[in-house]
Amino acid sequence: MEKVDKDPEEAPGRSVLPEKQEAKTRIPTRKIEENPIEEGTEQSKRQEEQEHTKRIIDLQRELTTFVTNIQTAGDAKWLERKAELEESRRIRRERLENDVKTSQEKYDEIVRSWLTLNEKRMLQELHEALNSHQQLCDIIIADKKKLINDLQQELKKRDDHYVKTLRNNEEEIDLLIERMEEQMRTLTNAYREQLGQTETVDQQETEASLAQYKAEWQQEMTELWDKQIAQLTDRRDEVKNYEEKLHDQMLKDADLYNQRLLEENCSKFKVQREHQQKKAADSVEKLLTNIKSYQPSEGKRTSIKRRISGLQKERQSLQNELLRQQKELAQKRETLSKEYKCTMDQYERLQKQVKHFAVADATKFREMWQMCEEERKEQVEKILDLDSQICKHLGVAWERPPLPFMEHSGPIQPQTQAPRPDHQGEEGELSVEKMKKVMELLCDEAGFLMESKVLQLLAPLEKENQTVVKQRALFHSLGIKGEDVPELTDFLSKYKQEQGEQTEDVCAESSDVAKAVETSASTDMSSELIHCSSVLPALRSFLKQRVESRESTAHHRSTVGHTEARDAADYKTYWDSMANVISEDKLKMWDAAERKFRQYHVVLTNISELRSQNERLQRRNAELRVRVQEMAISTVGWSH
Amino acid sequence: MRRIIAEDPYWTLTTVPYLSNLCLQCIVNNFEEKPIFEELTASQKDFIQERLSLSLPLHLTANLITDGVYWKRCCKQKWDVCDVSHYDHSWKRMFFERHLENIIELFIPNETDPKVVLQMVPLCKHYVKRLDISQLLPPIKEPQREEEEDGSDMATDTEYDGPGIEHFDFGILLKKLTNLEELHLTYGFKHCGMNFEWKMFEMTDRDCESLAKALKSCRTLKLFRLHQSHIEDKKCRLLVKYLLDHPSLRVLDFSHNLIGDSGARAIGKLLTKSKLEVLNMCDNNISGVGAKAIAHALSKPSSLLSLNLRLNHLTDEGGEAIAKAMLKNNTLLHLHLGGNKMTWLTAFALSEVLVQNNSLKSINLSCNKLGEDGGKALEKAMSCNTSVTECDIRLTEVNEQSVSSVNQVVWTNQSLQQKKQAK
Repeated sequence: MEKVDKDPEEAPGRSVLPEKQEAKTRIPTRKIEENPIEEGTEQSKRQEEQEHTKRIIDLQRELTTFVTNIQTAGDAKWLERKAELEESRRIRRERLENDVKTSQEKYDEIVRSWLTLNEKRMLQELHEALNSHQQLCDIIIADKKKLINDLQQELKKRDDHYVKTLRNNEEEIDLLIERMEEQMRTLTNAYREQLGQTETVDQQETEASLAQYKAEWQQEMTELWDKQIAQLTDRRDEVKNYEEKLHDQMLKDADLYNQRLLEENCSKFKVQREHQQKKAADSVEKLLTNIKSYQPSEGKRTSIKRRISGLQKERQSLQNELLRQQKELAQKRETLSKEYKCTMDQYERLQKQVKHFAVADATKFREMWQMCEEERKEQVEKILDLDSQICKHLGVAWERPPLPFMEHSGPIQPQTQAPRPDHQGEEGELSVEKMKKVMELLCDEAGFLMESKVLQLLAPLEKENQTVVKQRALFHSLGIKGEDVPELTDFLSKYKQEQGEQTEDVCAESSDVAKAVETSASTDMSSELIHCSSVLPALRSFLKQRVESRESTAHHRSTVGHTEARDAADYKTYWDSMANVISEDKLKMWDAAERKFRQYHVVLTNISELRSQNERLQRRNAELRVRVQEMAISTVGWSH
Repeated sequence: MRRIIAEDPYWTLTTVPYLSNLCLQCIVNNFEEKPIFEELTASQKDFIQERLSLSLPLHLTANLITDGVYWKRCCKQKWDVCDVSHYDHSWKRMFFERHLENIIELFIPNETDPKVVLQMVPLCKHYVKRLDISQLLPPIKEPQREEEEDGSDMATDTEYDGPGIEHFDFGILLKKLTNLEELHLTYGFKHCGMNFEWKMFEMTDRDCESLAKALKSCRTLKLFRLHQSHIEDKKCRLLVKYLLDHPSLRVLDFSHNLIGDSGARAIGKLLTKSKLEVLNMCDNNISGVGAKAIAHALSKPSSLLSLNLRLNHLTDEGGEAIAKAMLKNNTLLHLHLGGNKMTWLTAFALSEVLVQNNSLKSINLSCNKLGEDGGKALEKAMSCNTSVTECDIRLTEVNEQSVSSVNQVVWTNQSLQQKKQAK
C-alpha cells in the first residue's frame, strides 16, 4: 500500500522539476513606471519578477499535486479495497452456495433416510437407521458450525482490517493535513518573501523617484523663484519709469490742456461774438423781411393784431396794477402823515411841558433864593446886633456898616425880566419882500450847492417856482428849516454892519439881537441889501453861529441852573458881600475879646469859689465860737 | 467624592462617564422592558450592542438588532470556533443558521414539540440562507430489538418501513424559510457509540417522500446536498421526481450513496429537464448502463458545467459512452471520471474528445488503468488542445514521458488562460 502511495507522489514531483525551466514567461501584472534612465535595472527587475512568479507558480503546482496525490492514492486504495471486498463477498457467496448445495444433498439424504426409516420395522434396523440419520444430521450441524466459525473468523478479520484501514485513513488524513499545512507555510513564506522583495524594491523605487522629484522640484522652484524675483525687479523698474513718464506726461498734458482751453475759450468767444453778430444780422434781416412780409400777409397781420391786443391787455393790466399801487401808496402816505402829525403834536406837547417845567423850576428857584436871602439878611441883622452889643461891652464905638444889598433883593430880579416874546414879535414884522429878496440872492449865490440834474429839471419852470424849489433844496442841504428863514434874513442884513466890528460875546446874543433889530429897522429903508460877494461868508458865519446857538439852546433847555451859573461871579460877590458884613479886624477883635473874657471868667469863677470857701470858713468860725462860748459856759459852771 | 491623585499620571477626567453614556447604559439595562434601538445613531448602536445582555429573548432581539457586535458576542458565547467568512461575514446570519441547525439536529421526533422549530421560523427566516445539517436523530427506540438486528447488508434494510421510525419532517420548515439557498443534509447519527445500528444512517421512504415534497415547496433553493444517507435507486427516483421542475436548483450532490443504474437514469432525465449546473454523483454504484443514460443527457444541449462520477463502476462501457456524448457537448467544463475501472479504450475515446472539444477545462482520469497506450493517445491529443488547464492522469499506469508532456501542455494552456484573463 505504501509503495503505491509513494510512487505516484514522486512521479509527478519528478515530472514537475524539468518543467520549471521551460515554463513560459509571463508578463508581469504589475506595471512599472517607464523610466528611460533605469531601463537596465528595470529589465533585471522584470526578470527577477518573472522568476519570482515562476517560482511561486511552480510551488503552487508542486504542493497541490503533493497534497492531491494523497487523495488520489486514497481513491486508489478505496478502489482496491472495494475490489477486495467484492472478491471476498464473491468467495463468501460461492462458499455459501456450496454449503447450501452440500447441506441440501445431505438434507435430501436425511429426508430419503426418513422415508426408508418409515419403512423399516425392525427395531435394530431402525436404531441403526436412526444412528446414521443422527450422524448425518451431526455432520450437517458440524458443517454449519464450521461455516459459522469460518464466517465469524472472517468477520473478525474484517473488523481488524477495518480498524486497520481506519487507522491508515487517519494516518493519511494526518499526512494530508500536515502537507496542507506545510504547503500553506511554504506558500506563505514564499509570498512573504516576494512581498518583502517587492516592498523593498518598491520602497527603493519610490524613494529614488521621490528624491529625484524632490530635487527636480527644488530646482524648478528655485528657478521659478529666481525668475519671479527678476521679473519683479524688472516690473518695479518699469513701474518707476512709467511713473516718471506719467508724471511728465501729466504736467505736459496739463500745460497743453490749459493752452488748449485758452485757445478754445478765445475761439469760443470769437464764435460767440460772431454768432451774436450773425444773430443780430439775422434778426435785422428777419425784421426787415418781417416788415416786408407784414404788408402782404393778412394772416400775419391778424396775428400781430392779436399780439397787439394781447400786449394792450397786458398794458391795461399793468396800468390797473399801477393805479392800485398808487392808491395803496396814497393810503400809506395818509396814514404816515397822520402818524407824523400825531408825533408832531406829541413833540409840541412835550416841548410845552418842558417849558412849563422850566418856568416852574425858575419860580421855585426864585422862591428858594428869596427865602435864603431873607434868612441871610436876618442872620446879618443878628450878627450886627451881636457886634453892636460886643462893641458896647468893650466900650468901642459901633457903627452900622453900609449895607447896599439889604435894600434890593440880589441880581436875580432883572434877569427874569428878559423879554423873549417881544423879540420874536419884532421879527415877525420883518417884511416878506425882504425875505424874498434874500432868498433869491441866496439861491443865486449858493447855486453851486445844487445838483446839476435838479437845475436841469428846474430849467423849464418859472422863476418864482424855481426859487422856491431851489430854496427848499438849499435849505435841505444846509440843514436850515423854514422857521429859521426870517432869522437868516435878519442875520444877513445885519452882517454888513458887523463886518468891520469884531464878533461879540456869545452870551450877549440876545441883547445883540435886540440891538440888531433896532439897527436893522433903522437901516432897512436906507441901506441896500447885503453885497452879493459877502453873502457866502455871511452865510457861513450864520451857520456856525446857528450850530453854536443850537448847542447853547439845548443846554439852556436842559437846565435852567446852568444859565444862572453864568452869573455865578455876580452871585458870589453878592453873597460874599453879605458874608463880609463883619470885617477881618472886627473878627480879630472878637477873638481877643473872647480870650479876655475867658480869662476874666476864670478869675470870676476863682473868686466865686474863694467866696464860698470864705463863707464856709466864716460859718465854721461862727460855730467854733459858739462852741467856745458853750465851753466857756460849761467851764464856768464847772468851776463853780 | 473624587480626588485627583497626584501620583497617578494616568488619571484623567475622561474616566468620568458622560451623561449620554449613562443614558445608553440605562437603555441597556431596561432593554427587555423598553427596547430602544432604531432611533439611535450608529455610534450609540455600537455602544448598546457591546453591552446588551446575551440572555435577552430572541423574539425581542432577532428583528430589532442589526448585524454587528451583539451577534458576534452571541456566536462567541455559544460556539468556540466561529469562521464568519463562511457566512458572508455576517454574524447575525451565522448565529441564526447555526442556531437553527442545532435545533434541528437535536430534534427528536415524537418527543420534541415541532413548535420549538416553528417558533424560530419567523425570527430567522430573513437571515438563514444555508442549512448544514450533519445529523438527524431517529425517534426513541421501541423495545423490539430482535427485528432490527440485521445491519450487515445495506440492501436488506431498505424495505423496512416501520411506523414511527421517521426523522425530522422538513415539510414544516422549508416552506417558510424564504431565503434558504443551500441545504446540506445527512441522515446520520454522530455519537452513536455502542448503540450502532445501520438504521440510524438511513432515511425511510416516508422521510424521503416528505423531504422531496419539502424540496419542491422551497422555491429559492439553489444547492441541495444529500450525502452519506444510503439512498438507493428507489429513493433517488422519488427525489428526482419531485425535483424535475424545480425553478432554481443549480447544484445537486448525491455523493456517497448507493445509487445504481436506475437512479442514474432518473438523474439523466433530470439533467435534460432542469437547469442543473453542477452534478456530483461520486461514490455511488453507477455502472455502464447508468453512465450511458447520463451520457445520453450530456449529448443533448444542457446547462451542466461540472460532472463528477468519481468512484463508480462505469468501466469502458460508460467511459466510451460519455466520451461520445462529449463530442457533441460544448458546455461542460469539468469532468471527473476518477476510479472507474476504465482502460485504454476510454482513453482513446477521450483523446478524440480532447482534440475536438474546446470547452472542457479540466478532466480527471486518475486511478484508471489507462496503460501506456492510453497515455500516448492522450499525449497526442493534448498536443492539439488549448483549452484544458487541468488534466489528472495520476495512478493510471501511464508512461512518465507522456505524463510530463501532458502536464506541459496543461501549463501552457494555464498561462494562456491567465493571459486572456489579464486582458
